[in-house]
Amino acid sequence: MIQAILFYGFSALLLGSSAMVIFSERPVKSALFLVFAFLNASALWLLQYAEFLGLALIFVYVGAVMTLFLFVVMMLNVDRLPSGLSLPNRLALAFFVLIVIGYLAGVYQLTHPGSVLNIQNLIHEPTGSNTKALGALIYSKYVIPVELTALVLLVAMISAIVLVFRGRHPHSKAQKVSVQVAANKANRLKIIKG
Amino acid sequence: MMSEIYTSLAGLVCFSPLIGALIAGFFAKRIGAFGAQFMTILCVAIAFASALVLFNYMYIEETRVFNYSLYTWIAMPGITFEVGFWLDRLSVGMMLVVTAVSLLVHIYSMGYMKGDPGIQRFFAYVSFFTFAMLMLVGGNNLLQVFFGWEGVGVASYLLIGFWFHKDSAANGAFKAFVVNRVGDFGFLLAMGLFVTYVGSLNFSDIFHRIPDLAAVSLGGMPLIDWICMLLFIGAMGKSAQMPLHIWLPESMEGPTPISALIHAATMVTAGVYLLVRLSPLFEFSPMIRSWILVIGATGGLILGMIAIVNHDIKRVVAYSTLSQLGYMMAAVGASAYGLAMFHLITHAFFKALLFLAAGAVIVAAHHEQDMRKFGGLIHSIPLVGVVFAIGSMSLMAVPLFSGFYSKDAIIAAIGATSLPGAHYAYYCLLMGVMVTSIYSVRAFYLTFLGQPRSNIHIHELSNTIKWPLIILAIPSMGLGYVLAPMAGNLHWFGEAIFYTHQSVTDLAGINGHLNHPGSMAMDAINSAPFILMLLSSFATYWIYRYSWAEKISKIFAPIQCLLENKWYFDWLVEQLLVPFVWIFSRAFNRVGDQLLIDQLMVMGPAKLLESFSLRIKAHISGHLYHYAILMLLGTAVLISKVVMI
Amino acid sequence: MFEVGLLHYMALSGLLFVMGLIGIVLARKNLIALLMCVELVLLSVNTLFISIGHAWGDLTGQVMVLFILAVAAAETGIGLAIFVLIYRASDQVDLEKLDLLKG
Repeated sequence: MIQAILFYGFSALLLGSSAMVIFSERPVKSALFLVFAFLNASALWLLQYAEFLGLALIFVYVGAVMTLFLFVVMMLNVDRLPSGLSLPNRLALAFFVLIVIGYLAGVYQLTHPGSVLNIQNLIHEPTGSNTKALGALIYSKYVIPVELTALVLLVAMISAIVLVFRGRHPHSKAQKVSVQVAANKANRLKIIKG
Repeated sequence: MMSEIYTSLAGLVCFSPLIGALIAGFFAKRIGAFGAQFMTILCVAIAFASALVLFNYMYIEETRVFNYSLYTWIAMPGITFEVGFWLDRLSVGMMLVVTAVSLLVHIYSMGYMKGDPGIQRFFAYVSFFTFAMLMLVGGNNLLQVFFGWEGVGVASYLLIGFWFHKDSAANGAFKAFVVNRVGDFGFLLAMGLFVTYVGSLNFSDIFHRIPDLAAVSLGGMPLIDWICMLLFIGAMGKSAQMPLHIWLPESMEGPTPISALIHAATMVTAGVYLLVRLSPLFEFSPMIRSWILVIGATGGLILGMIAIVNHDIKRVVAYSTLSQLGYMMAAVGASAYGLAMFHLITHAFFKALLFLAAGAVIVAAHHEQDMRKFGGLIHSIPLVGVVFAIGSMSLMAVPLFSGFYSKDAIIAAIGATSLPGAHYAYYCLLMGVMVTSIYSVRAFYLTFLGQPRSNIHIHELSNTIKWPLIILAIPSMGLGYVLAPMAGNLHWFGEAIFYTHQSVTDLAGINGHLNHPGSMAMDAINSAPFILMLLSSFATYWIYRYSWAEKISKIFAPIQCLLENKWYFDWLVEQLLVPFVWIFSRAFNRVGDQLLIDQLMVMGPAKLLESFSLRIKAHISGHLYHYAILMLLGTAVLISKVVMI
Repeated sequence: MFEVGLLHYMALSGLLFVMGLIGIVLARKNLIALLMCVELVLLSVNTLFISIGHAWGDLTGQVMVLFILAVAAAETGIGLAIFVLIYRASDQVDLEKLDLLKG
């Protein structure tokens, strides 16, 4: 019962905030609503005993990725942008899409009565710590994919830097490590014979 | 265990020239001229050594037929095409000849082609040529033989046209290629008949089914006659039998080492080899053998006669090849397959010698080929003169020389056979002996004896040219004597060759002779071929010694005209066939190539796409979200297709 | 009605997915909003993974989510870097004005 209440509550908040992400006119507002959507999603994940991922979503996404979003939004100076559709049109559209999806789902439900998608009450209660179980899994069976994912992140980081980096400012006072490391006696010492 | 040894040896023989060719062809720039020469010669030497080892197994240790399929190329319901080796005394002996001549030609080419800008390309082609011929010789099924057959054709095309900037070379290559295609068509049709009636192209299957084939009749003629006829047409193209011989003289436009290779080992012998290989078929088709006998013998006489009036030293040797091929074919016709191979082998060596000697003359004379401008060269290049004389004497069948044994045995075999047309063939070949002597003495006299007829500054010959000549001179002299006792045995190729009872009785008399080569040479002194040879040689010598040639040619002016125009074969082809072919080709070019293929099939889709693209171009907004919509719709269609199943 | 099962979560993630799609396709604003909508789509997929994994008692779904999160983070990082470049080149990130591919 309490689960149902929590589910419906967070779901409503999630869908509402994601609608705001789409329809709000200010990018900053969109980004903040996205943060809120993530928080709700993370609550929903927690409801399904995915504790590690629920928290990771907050830490990684809200903490890092969304910060990046906000940073870019503010850096690029995009303030107000008109959206393509008026509000009634949007609502009509959403309604239409909902009907199409419902129709398809109904058809599917009728034509595939024994489908795996219809498993309703096959909810398993986890036995131990979710984080521990997940860690045992990804560092045994999925260790190579995990390492590859790390590689993907590294490549993404390098490429993002390479893309945006415009070279050192000509009058920069920052220290040049390579020059310092390469320096030898002749650069620094001058023997004066008296 | 033994089978592995055979397979790897046969693989070495066949594929090491290919490796050499690939290295020389693809890494030409990197390894340079010397590298290409070194690699190809090394690879062919490996092939030669492996062939020697195989020869040892087959002949000394008396191994039987070895049939091994290496790789399944195409497997279809009902028929399988394989790549494999069929090793027996015949194929291994042939491999040895091919690799030996090829090795010497490779070495000789180092000197002959010195300074040519395309030298790597040349060596790559020559090695590929050898590879194709070895595939042909070693194949255990007709498709592989056909692969080698075509490979040889392609390589000869590339090599005859090696100096493609010369129009005559390009045309000669083209002519060789086209005329060979005519013969290949016969071969292809024969293969089609095999596929239809035998259901396989493997030699083992074909040989098992011969009695069945002999029983089937097709259009009023026994099927086996059809097959043999088509195979012979194939062999006519490759082995330059009348009337498909017209490409061979044109092939003289290639570099001389290639002429030697084509004539001695790798190309024209292919047809003879094929017929010998399939001797079990031909034994059951006396009618076609009769035709082979007549055509071969006619060619042996009249094509040799053209050499009498030709002035180009290489062409004289080329026409002599045509004549000798006639002898080999006639021997096949007379069921004397062993003798045909015997002549093929001796001919390979003395003809290679003659060509390489002619090439040496040409190099010495700064690429002058006209014999009328030579004369007295024996004083300046004595070695070449001597080896040319040895080759010529072998060709003329002077007793004790290697050509003597094979040629006299063939003439005797044809005299002994009882096929229709055998008498005609016998007299043709006897006359052929005379003709051979005339042109050989003439060529030798004009080139090496008498007074110099023009100022030719003699070019120094390198050792890579001299040594192959010396090495080839030895088998040209002695090989016949050594091999004659083996050739005297009807079964010297083991089970490779099949004889009917009739053939065995016909040939029994000849073999007694060959078993005693010394006394055979003594007996020859009062035989017809020897006397004819002697008389005509001396007559020719005196004619040129006292310069009667002019007068005699005036007496025989009509014949001379006939010979100078090569019996009008080329003229006939040009007048009768070429116009039709021209009209057809043009029609096919217009309708088939330009309209159907170029316009409709090649340009058609492109134009359709272009007009379609131009039309939808206006509707492309370039906005990201439109692309996203299209992508989504596509994905939706795809997923619905999967889900709704 | 009050028993929350797999179908409920699936419906939720379906709606979220459609929401994201509408954002990508119809709410034509700017590149950054577009990327946020992509994040929504990914979030819906992640939710689906977690729900099905939960329903089947299988942790593989969560492992997949972990990978998706990592790859999405990478994609966001590079995407934002590209937007910065686009902004530098043309001084705007308006989707309506980015039509260089127009035929």
